Amino acid sequence: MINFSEFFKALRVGIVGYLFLILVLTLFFLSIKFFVKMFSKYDSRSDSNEAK
Amino acid sequence: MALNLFLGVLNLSIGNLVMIFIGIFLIYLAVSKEYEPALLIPIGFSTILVNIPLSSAVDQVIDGVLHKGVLNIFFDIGIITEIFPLLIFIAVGSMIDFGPLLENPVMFLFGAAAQFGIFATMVVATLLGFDIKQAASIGIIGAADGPTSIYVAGRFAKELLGPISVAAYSYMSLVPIIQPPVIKLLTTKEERKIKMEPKGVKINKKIRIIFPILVTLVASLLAPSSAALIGFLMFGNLLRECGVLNSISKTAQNELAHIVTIFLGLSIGSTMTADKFLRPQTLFILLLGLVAFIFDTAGGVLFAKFLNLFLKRKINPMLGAAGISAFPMSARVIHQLGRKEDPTNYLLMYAVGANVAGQIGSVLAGGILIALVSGI
Repeated sequence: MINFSEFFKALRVGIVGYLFLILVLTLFFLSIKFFVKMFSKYDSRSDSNEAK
Repeated sequence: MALNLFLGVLNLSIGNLVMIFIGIFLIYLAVSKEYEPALLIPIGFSTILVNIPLSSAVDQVIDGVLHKGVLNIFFDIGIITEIFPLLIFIAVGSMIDFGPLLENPVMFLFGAAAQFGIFATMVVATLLGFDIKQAASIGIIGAADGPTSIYVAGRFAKELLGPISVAAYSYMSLVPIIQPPVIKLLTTKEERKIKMEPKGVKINKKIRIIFPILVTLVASLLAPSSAALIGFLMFGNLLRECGVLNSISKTAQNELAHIVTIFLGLSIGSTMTADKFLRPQTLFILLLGLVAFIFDTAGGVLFAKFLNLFLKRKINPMLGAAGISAFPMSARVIHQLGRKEDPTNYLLMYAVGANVAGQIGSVLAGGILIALVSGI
């Protein structure tokens, strides 16, 4: 027999867990994008200094 | 007295025979089909050992005294304490090159989206009579990541560890069979033909070193229950990327991985006794494992299609399916599917990026499940 109390607990955990996971990895996406941009700018600047 | 010598044969039950056959079958799959041989051979052999009546490899009570069996000792030392899966994570981290993900950080989103199967399967499992802890352990098969499955199941449902591990490792090998029909069902030919141009971003050493530290910090602060899992994975990666510990990194990739895999497999096999494995529950778990992989693939593809609604430059939605952490199998499958539709389309680097993001996503999902389910 279906235990609806366990089902609704799982549903709640599933929705909260999945959304939280997407949120955390979105945060990774944004921070890594920022770091990559920042360091590649820094590198290109030091490269052009070396060229001078 | 001579009868004592035949106690093994005299005590052999049908259940023992069936399990010994299953052990041999796992070894057959590993040898002839090459389904995760590093794991299935130790699991299969250990299954044979634990199903021999009065086997000295498992705990026995003789004359009222408990004699610990070596396989139970392995289990207690490595699985109950969670040491074996964590050591495997050091090895996995040292094997992964996160470069393709750093070049295309948007792939992080697919690493999250393709974990849908974990959560959806957990909900379905409760409809089949499993309690929430067992359901979470079954759902985590969808992590497509053996050590995470073992870690979570070891925490919540030790009694189901055998079938969950067998399902996790078997379906990981079956990714080339499971994913393509689901992807084809959910995408059009035009979508599968979408070209992804190489970005050519150069990732320097600083970013590669900052990455494992940053991921550990952010993930552990937001979900402290994932700190051990993500921390060991990223520690392995730091060994690889720091550039001053090459021999230790190589040791983690080879010797450590091989030695722990042997003990992990033997420990898992020790749970494959007839009374624990030969139940209707086992069939449900194997079925739900397949459901989890299908949901994962669908979740990734549909999320990519959803993103495309807002993007000017469309993403090939097949890349969403590479967000599961079956590495590098899934990336290869997506690349080949892309080449089938358009031989000039080169999806491999994007797919590998999504695939390694899936590794991080699955580990985090394990930590999140532990936090949420423990709190109930």
